[in-house]
Amino acid sequence: MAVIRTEGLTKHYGRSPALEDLDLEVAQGEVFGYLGPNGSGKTTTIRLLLGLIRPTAGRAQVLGGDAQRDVVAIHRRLAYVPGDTALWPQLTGAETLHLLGAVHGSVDANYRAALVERFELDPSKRVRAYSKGNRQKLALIAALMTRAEVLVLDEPTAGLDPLMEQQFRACVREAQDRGQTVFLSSHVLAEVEALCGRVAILRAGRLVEVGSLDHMRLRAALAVEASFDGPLPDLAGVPGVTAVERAGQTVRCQVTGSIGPLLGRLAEAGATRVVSREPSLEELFLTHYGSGPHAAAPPAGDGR
Amino acid sequence: MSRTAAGVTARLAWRRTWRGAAAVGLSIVLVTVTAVLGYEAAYPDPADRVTLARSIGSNPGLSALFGEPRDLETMAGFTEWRVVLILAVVGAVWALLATTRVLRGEEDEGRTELLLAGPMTRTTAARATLGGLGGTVLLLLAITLVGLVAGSGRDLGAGPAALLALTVVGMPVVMVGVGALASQVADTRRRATGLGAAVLGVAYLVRVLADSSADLRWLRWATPLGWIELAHPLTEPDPVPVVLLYVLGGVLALVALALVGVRDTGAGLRSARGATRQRVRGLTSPVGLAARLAAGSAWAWAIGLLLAGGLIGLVARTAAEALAQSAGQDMLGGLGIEDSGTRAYVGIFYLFITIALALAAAGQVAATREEEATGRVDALLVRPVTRGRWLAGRVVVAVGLLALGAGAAVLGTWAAGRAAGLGVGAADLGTAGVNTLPAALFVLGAGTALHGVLPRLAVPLTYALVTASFLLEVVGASVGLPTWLLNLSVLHHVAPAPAVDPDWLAGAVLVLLGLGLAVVGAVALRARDLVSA
Ligand SMILES: Nc1ncnc2c1ncn2[C@@H]1O[C@H](COP(=O)(O)OP(=O)(O)OP(=O)(O)O)[C@@H](O)[C@H]1O
Ligand SMILES: [Mg+2]
Repeated sequence: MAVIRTEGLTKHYGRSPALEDLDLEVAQGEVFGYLGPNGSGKTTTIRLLLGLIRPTAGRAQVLGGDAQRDVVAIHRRLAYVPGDTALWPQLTGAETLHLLGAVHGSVDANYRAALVERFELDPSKRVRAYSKGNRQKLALIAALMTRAEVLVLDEPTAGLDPLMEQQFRACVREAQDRGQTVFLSSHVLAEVEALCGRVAILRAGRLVEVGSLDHMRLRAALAVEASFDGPLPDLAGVPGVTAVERAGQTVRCQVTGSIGPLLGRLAEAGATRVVSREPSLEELFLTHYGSGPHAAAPPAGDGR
Repeated sequence: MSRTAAGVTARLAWRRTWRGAAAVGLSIVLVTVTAVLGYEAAYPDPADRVTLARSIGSNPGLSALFGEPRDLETMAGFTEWRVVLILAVVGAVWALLATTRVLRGEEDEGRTELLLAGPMTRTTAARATLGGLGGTVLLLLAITLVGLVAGSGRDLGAGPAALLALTVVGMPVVMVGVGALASQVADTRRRATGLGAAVLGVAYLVRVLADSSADLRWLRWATPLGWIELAHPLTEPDPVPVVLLYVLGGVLALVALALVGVRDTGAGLRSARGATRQRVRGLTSPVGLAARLAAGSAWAWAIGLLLAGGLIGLVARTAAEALAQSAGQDMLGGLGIEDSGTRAYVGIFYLFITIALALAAAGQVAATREEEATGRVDALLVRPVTRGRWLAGRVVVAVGLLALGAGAAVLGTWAAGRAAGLGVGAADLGTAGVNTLPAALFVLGAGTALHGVLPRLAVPLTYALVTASFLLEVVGASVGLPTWLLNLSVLHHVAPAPAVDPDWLAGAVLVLLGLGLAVVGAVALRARDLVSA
C-alpha cells in the first residue's frame, strides 16, 4: 500500500512554478530519498504533504487520507523535521519536548529520555541558548520520540556533527526495522546512499528520475578509458558513446546502454589497456542536477 | 550612491520605513489642517469661542489629557491645545515601532548576521541603520514642514506653522533614540518595543501629573512630552524645549551606538538566563502554549493599567471639584456627558483605558502573526492540531489578557479612589471596566480577520485601525467632522461610563462583529498558504 501518493501535484507562486505535475508513490516501510538542487521544489512538496500550503492543482494523499483535509488524522501518525527549525526561544528544551509530545498524543517518556541521552542534548537550556545543531537535535528528538508511522524529514541533519549524523542514521535504520516509512530530503549524498532504497530526483520543479539506487547505477553512463600504441580510433558514431576526450595515447569516453559496440571498436583499433568504472553516486546525481555531466563545474570566465 | 555594505544597510533601513513616515507625516498635516479649518467652521462667533475657552480652560480633566490650554478663544490657541500633544504621541509610537523593527527585528530574523559577515562591524551596521532611519525622519520632517506651512501657513503664520512641525516631529526623534537604546537593552524586538512603550507611557503619566496641579508644573521639564507643551509653537513660541527634544534624541542614539559593541548579536544586555527552572504545568496544548507566551505581556499590561487606573482614582476628585465650578459644560456635552461630578472625569479617562486595551488587542494580533511569520506555528500544525484550533487558542488567551487589563484598571481606580475619597462605587467602576472591552474585542476580531485575509499587512492595518479611531474620536468631535465619518471610529461607539450609562446595545454589536470577523479570519486562514515573514 502506498503511504504517500501524489497525483499531478502542482504548486505555483504567482506565475513561477515551484512544483509541476508531480506523480509519486512511496510504499510502506520504504526509506525514500528526495533529491534535487536548491530551489528545485523539495520543501514545497513536503509542505504540500503536510497541508501547510495549498496545491495549485493535483492532490496528495498520506496514509490514505487527503493531505489538506484530513490533517488531524494524518498528523497523529506522522512526524516531521524541518531543516531550519523555528521553536519558541523562551521555552527550555525539556518544556518544548513536553509540549510537543503532549500535543502529538502519547509519548513514551523512557524512549524520549533515551533519545535525549543518545543525541547528547542538555534539555535544561532555553531554546534561545541552543546552537543551531542543538536546536536541530531537539527537533529530531521531538519527531523520533513519537514513533510515528511516517517520518517526513527535510534536510534533518543540517548542522549536525559527524557523530550525531551517525546517531541519526542508526535511528533511521531502527525506524525502518520497526516498519516506519521515511521520506528523506537531503543534500548529503552519503547519507542518502547509506539509508535510501529508492530515490527521486527533482529539477526545477519536475521529477526527472525515480527508482532504486542500484537500478539507476545500472542505467547510468559507464566511464571508459582506453590506451593505444598506435593511432587513436575515431569513436564518434559508435552507439551509446558520449563525451569523448583524447589525451596523448589515451581516449576517455562515457557509454550508456550496451558496451558491446564500443569494445568491438576498441579491440579493432588495437587497444593495449581498457579501464572502466561505475560512476560515483556524486557523478550520478550531478548528471541529473545540472544540464550535463560537467554542469557542476563553474562556468569559465566567471571572475568573481 | 555608495555601494558599500554600510550604504546597502542604510538604504535597507530607509526602504523599510519611509512609507510609514510618509503616512504619519500626511496624517499630521491632515489632522492639523482639519482642526484649523474646523475651528473656524464650528465656532464662527467670538462669543462662542469665549464660552468654549471658559469651559475647557477650567477643566482639569481635559487639560490632563491634552495639556494645559491657553488662548483658547483664538484659532492658534485652540489648534495648539487640540493637536500638538496627540500628534506628537502618534508620531512617537510610529518612531518606536519603526526603530525597533529595523534595529532589532532584522537581527531577530538573523538577517543582520548575513550583513555582519561582510566587511562591517556591528557598530558600523547600527550606525548605518540609524543613518537610514535618520533619512526617514528627515522625510517626516519635510512632509510636515511643507504640509503645515502650505496648508495652514495662511491661517497660523508661516513661522509658527514651521515651529509646530518641528515640535511635533521632535517627539518621534526622541523615540528613535529611545527605540535604539531599548533595542540594545532588550533581547527581542517585542521586548524592546514594550520597553520603549513603557518609557513613553511613563513620560505621558509624568506630564499628566505635571498638568494636574499648579504645584507640579515644574515636572514638565522632566518629560519630553512636557517640553512639547512648553514649546507653545503657536501661542508663545519658545525654541529651547524644541532644541532639547532633538538633542535628547541624538544623545540617546549615541548611547545606543556605544552599547552596540558591548552586547552580543542576537542577545540583549539584559540577556536571557541560561539554565532555568522547568515549568511544564499547563504546557500540554496549543492554548496552554498561547497562555504561556502571552504571560509576559499580560503582566506588563495589567501592571501598567493598574497604575493608570490608580492615577485616575487619585486625581479624579480634585479635578471634579474644579470641574463643578467651571462655567460651561459644552465640552462634556459634546461627549454626551451630562454629569459634572467625579464620574464625568473618570468617564473621560476610561476612554483612554479603552484605547490602551485596543492597542493591547492589536499587540496580540501582532504576536499571533509573528508565530506564523517565524514558522514557529509549523511545529504545532504538523502535529494533530488544526489551524482553527490554534487560532481559537490564541484568541481566547488574548480575550483573557484584555479582561485582565480591564480588571486591573478598575482595581487600581477603586483602591486609589478609596484612599482619595473618589465616591464612585465599586459596581459603577466595574461597569465602566466592562464597558472598555467591546472596542478592544472588536479590534481583536478585525485584526484576526486581517490576519486571515492579508497576513503580511495585518499588523500595520490593525494598528492603523486603532490610530485612526483615536484620531477621529479625539480630534474629530470638536472640529465638527460629519457623523458618518465619526461613526467609522470604533471608539465613537463607546459611551464614557461611568459618566453616562454604557451603551450595551452598541457594545453587544461591537462584540458580535468582532466575533464574526474572527470567524472570517479563521476561515480565511484555513483556506490559504502559511506565509513567512
Ligand atoms: N513562499 C514562496 N513564495 C514564492 N516562491 C517560493 C516560496 N516558497 C518557495 N518558492 C520558490 O519555489 C521554488 C522551490 O522552492 P523549495 O523551497 O521547494 O526548494 P528546495 O528544493 O527545498 O530547495 P533547497 O534545497 O534550497 O531547500 C524555489 O524557486 C523558490 O524560490
Ligand atoms: Mg528545502
